[in-house]
Amino acid sequence: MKKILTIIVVLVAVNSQAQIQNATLQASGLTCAMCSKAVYKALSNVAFVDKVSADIEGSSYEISFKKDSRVDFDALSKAVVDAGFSVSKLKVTTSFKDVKVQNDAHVTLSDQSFHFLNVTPQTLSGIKTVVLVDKNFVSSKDYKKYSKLTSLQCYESGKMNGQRVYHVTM
Amino acid sequence: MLQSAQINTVYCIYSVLSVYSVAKKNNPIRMFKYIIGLSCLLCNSISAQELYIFSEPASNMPAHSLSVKQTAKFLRNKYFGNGESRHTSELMFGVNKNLMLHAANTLSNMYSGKTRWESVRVYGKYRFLSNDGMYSHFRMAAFIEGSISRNKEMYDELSLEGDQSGIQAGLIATQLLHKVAISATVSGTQILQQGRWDNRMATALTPYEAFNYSLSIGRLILPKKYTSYSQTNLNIYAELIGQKTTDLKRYFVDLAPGAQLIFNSTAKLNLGYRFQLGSNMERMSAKSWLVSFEWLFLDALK
Repeated sequence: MKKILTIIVVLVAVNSQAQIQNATLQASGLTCAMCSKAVYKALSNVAFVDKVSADIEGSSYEISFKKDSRVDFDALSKAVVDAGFSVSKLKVTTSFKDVKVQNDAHVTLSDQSFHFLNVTPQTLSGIKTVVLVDKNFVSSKDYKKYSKLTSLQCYESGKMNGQRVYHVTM
Repeated sequence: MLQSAQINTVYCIYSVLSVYSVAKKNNPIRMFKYIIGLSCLLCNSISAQELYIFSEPASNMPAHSLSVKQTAKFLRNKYFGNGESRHTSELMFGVNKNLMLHAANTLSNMYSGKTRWESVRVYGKYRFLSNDGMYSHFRMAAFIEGSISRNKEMYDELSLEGDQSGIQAGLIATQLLHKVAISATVSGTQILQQGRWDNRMATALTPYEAFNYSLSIGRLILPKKYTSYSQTNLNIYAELIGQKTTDLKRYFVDLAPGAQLIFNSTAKLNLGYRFQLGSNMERMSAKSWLVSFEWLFLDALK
């Protein structure tokens, strides 16, 4: 019983060790301002998004999130794809507090599972940027590159035991 | 010393003139060679757009968006000497990321001497391939359209833009590569008019089947640098549009330069001039002007 309680306490502690601050999304497949505006509007309409500012020339979007909302990265990707384009990069700025990460291993942060790839084992503290490397967040070339860096099956499906796992690197 | 942009411009003019001269001699292979040469050269010097005036790109409009377009086409009838026009009202829907639908209605005085309701048309386009890269993509789409028109067949040129009743289906491939967007379309047309099954004539007077093709290139002129969605954009386009009727062997090849202003990244004002490079068809006119205005409503269908 004591052991179970310890696990629960540790899990709760781990869950509160990271807070997503904002994200930078780069969209691919477009060059025109009209296309960029479609992406901008689609991202702005996502429920948990607070504000978007666009760099039209660089096809990138700074996204801030509503306070205390659960950030669903797949919803961001869907918004871009529905506008007619793809996500080529998603950088997420997160505030960490003593989070231990290992290479090719999972960690639960703010109620979501993350799988760290191509990292050295370390303890994360302060504001850090992680980059999503899942299928709908990188080019097909980079997807192939990252798939060689893991021995786990979840990279292909994006899921582990039915639960979404986001793959990230630093 | 000539700068590379000036060399490009000189080469562009030379290429267009070359296309014109070989088209007059009806040599499609040499013409294709010149067009490819022109396209490759443009790769180094321009920003591209694929919001073409006379043709559709393989890309679709955003999902759940609605677009309203009003088009006017003006020409002088070669046979009657009249100035004639067609007015098309079109609604376009982005059903999902891959499927878009159009519905159009036309009024014209082209076959009647006075302006009257002329035709309705529906169009569907499905994007089945999409490879996106940074500032690039290759996309392919299939489309099908059908029209019902009250006009009787009078000319060799086959069109579902109001002229005749029929169906058309085809494929579109669009390549955006860093700074160049090139789009190619091939399609087949079947005209389904009463005259097709009328056996009173020993041979048909007008064709009923056609193979169509187009090749389109676009260039962004202004702004030099994107800083906001409210900047007015100026794009110029060159489109090569051709048709070969397959039952009666006739053809035309047109070149259609055009200019486009985009306001607030929302509304497009298009101006195009289409003229004949070569043809052995009886056509209403060898040249025409087109003006259209289109307004995009993002998320209108959510």
